[in-house]
Amino acid sequence: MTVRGSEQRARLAAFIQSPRLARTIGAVGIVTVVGLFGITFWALVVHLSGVDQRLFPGPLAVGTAMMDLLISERFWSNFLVTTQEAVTGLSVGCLAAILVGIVVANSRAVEIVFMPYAVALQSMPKMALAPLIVVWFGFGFSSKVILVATLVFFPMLVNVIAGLRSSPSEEVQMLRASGASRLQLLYFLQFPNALSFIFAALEACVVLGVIGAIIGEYVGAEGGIGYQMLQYYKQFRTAEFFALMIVLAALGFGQYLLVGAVRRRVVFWSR
Amino acid sequence: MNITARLALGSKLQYQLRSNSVYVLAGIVLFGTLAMWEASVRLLEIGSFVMPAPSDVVVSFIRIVKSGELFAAAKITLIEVLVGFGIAAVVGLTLGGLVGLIPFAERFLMPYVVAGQCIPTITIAPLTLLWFGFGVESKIATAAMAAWFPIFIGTLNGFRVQSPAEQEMLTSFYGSAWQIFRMLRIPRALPYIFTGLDVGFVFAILGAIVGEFIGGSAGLGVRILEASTFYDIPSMFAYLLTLSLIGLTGHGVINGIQRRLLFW
Repeated sequence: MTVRGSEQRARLAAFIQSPRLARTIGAVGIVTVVGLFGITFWALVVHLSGVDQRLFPGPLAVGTAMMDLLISERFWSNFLVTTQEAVTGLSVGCLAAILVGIVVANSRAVEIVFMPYAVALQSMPKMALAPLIVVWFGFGFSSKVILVATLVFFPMLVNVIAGLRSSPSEEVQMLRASGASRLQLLYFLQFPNALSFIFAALEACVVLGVIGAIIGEYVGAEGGIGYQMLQYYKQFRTAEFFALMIVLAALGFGQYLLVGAVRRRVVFWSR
Repeated sequence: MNITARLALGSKLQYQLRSNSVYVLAGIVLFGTLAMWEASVRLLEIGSFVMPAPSDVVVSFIRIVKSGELFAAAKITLIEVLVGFGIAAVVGLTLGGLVGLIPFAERFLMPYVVAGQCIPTITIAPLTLLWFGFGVESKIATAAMAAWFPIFIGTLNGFRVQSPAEQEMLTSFYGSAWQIFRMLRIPRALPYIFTGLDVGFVFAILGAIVGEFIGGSAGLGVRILEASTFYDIPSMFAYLLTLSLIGLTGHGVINGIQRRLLFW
């Protein structure tokens, strides 16, 4: 056995015997127990109150609907559409926010000109722009991408600017004293420091991306999960609607976990 | 006027007006941008269904104010937002307080809280139509459902703050549990609670508007949708402006209350 192999075996043995494993099992156990309680409570409420299952479905109906969905091809193509909308919108919005943020953080003049708008636009519910965006960009893919990008842009911008400014001043001065150009300063110091802010904001923004894609589809679309949800709602197929909502939550949660994992690799020095 | 000249003018005004300089500068910038916008739309002859000029927007704004449409719609939306926000605040504060103060509740519920953040509550909007009909109630429900979570999280974070030294001091002075709660936990939690309320208000507006988009008969969201079917973009801008004003006012009110209550 190689040295590396025995090292890994030792680590595995330590993990199995460690209190960390017990804690992880404990945590999973608690989550499962609470989840089971929740589902039982839900089932009791629905069946005891005798409410029409088209108004408020019980867990059994939702579970069956979910299984039917997962094997239907139309669902998966819709899922792909919505995921693409969300991810593309997120990328566009974050990229724009990073670029604008770099400009604003480095130039006092641009900041003075630009920031009042940013602050004012923060208080506006940007989702209300959805009909406007659909009018301008049509029912297709691009309108959802633009809506998501708009939603994500402002929170991301604030975080990018805060992150770029967060580099300790001694380090800035040291780089400047060594004769670094603006670009070098940005690349070697400011941007790495900004990354932790950017990823934190990204974790919050992935959910916004999913919401934006869905609402965009509610307002006007030809495909996607939101479109399918609207159809189910019109057909009173509430169980399928609930199932799709759970899928959405899973999508958002999955993205959140993914971003978290990437964050821990890329910004390995924080936390 | 190039940037340098504008900055010079700004700093000169700053010297004269001292703390009001930022507002004046912002005003100058706003005016300049509006002028450039108007000029480019007119010169390039962009149709008003693509990008309206500020003058078109102002004309539409005056028209909808005069016809009373704006106030009627705004009143309905405002009711939806305020009632929804009120319900969300009560629910969010109570649940947040319960989970934050009961020692082990958080451990059991934390994964679901995190998962709950990911459920886009606004997407429930069509269901609220099913449950509450097409009237104001469903929009109130959507607004409340969208807004309660930030308030809940804010309250939770607020009560998570432990100041053991201060708590020990109060106990050593024979402070009762109620006194500890009133004099220590609540003030320490308030900043987080107000942040939650602030975010929750915007979400309440969002919920009301999305509810109106999906199925409503009156209100600002409905008007925006209506205007979009006529490609009447100046009116859409006018309604959106009103929405922003509502958002800004709410934000200002909450901030104002926060500054008075938390004067430190």
